[in-house]
Amino acid sequence: MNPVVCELCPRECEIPEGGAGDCRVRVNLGGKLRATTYGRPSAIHIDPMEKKPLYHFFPGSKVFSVATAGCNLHCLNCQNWQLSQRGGESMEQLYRADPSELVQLALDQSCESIAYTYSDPVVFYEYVHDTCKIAREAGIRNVFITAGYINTPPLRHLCQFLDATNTDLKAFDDRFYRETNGGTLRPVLDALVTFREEGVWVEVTNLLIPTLNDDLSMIRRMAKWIGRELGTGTPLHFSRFHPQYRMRNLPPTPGDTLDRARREALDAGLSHVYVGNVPGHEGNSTYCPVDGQLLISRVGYRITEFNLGNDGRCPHCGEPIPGIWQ
Amino acid sequence: MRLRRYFRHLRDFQLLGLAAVTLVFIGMFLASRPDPSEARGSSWRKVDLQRLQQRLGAGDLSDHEAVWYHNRPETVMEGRDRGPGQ
Ligand SMILES: [Zn+2]
Repeated sequence: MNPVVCELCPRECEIPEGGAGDCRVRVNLGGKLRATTYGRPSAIHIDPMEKKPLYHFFPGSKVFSVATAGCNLHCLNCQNWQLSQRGGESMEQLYRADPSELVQLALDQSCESIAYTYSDPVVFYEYVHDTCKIAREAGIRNVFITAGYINTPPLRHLCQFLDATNTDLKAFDDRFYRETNGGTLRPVLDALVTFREEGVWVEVTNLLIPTLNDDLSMIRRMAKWIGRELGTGTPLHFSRFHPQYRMRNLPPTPGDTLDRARREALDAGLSHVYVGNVPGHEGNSTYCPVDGQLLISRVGYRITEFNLGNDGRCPHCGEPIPGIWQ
Repeated sequence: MRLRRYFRHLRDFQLLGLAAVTLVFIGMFLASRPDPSEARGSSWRKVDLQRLQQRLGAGDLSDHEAVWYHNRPETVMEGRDRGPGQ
């Protein structure tokens, strides 16, 4: 039967010959584990950096975004379930683009960054790794948009090629992870710390789902942890939930829940707390944590005003704003 | 005397009947559970191997060898003893 054990993510799937990992795309053929979506993306788009969301990393720049089928989490509210909850063999859309072709495509489209995104890039690790290496040599930055459900050694190895991540911290609660995402909390916290240790620019997203993870005391603990382990300058994005996939029984996140969460995280000591998925909300914009000056005004993914100095400082008080600005 | 033995036998049959019904229910419960390879959060999944081989053959998918895995002797596969993160 030639079973193999995948060491990539905390599931550590034991896969018999002819079987796939829990991610559906890493398959044991002949006693060797195959990355079946290597060089076979199912989604390619050009997005603004703000859509990732990354607000403190080359604002307003275009990012070449790529994804393959499969995922190692199974979120009941997945917004990309048609991509993430399927194996490569059942995808209609399969492009062919080896790592060097992908980098060339990004260059042709005048993109200065490539984002590995939409599904979870953990499951197309080898494709990410090889593309990152070539992209780095070509002067293109690598952005890893993930739920962070990965073992530390492979992540640490990949970090040498990564420039930024937005990591989804789905809740500061292990039970929530088990019941809603089919995962666990600890590996995600470990991944966030690894990114920070390896010098990758980190922003965190937390999708607020009514009644499931909107408890203010939990949000306070999460914000405190982010401040302590990643730094109080780490941008935290609260995102609005929309009913979809297997979670249509709950309403969209009310505006005042997002406001209260943002206030709680700011009170807990974080300097840059954002509200996403609500265009026009004051929480779309960046303010100086010292004097409250508006530094970057955003409406949705669009930058409408840019007052930050070229040196990444507030032009009024000189406060350095953490980020990679240019 | 014979009447008491008769009733004792009756109780035994009732007990046997109850045990049989319970076993049927346990059997039905086990049969209704999903295939372990398809359960959420299980360690591996079944794949449409024929379709996969077709698409590999056509070049739609790739047989690129993954990194970060090791072979495990089949005898050790019995009883999963590794927890998350190990
Ligand atoms: Zn200022």
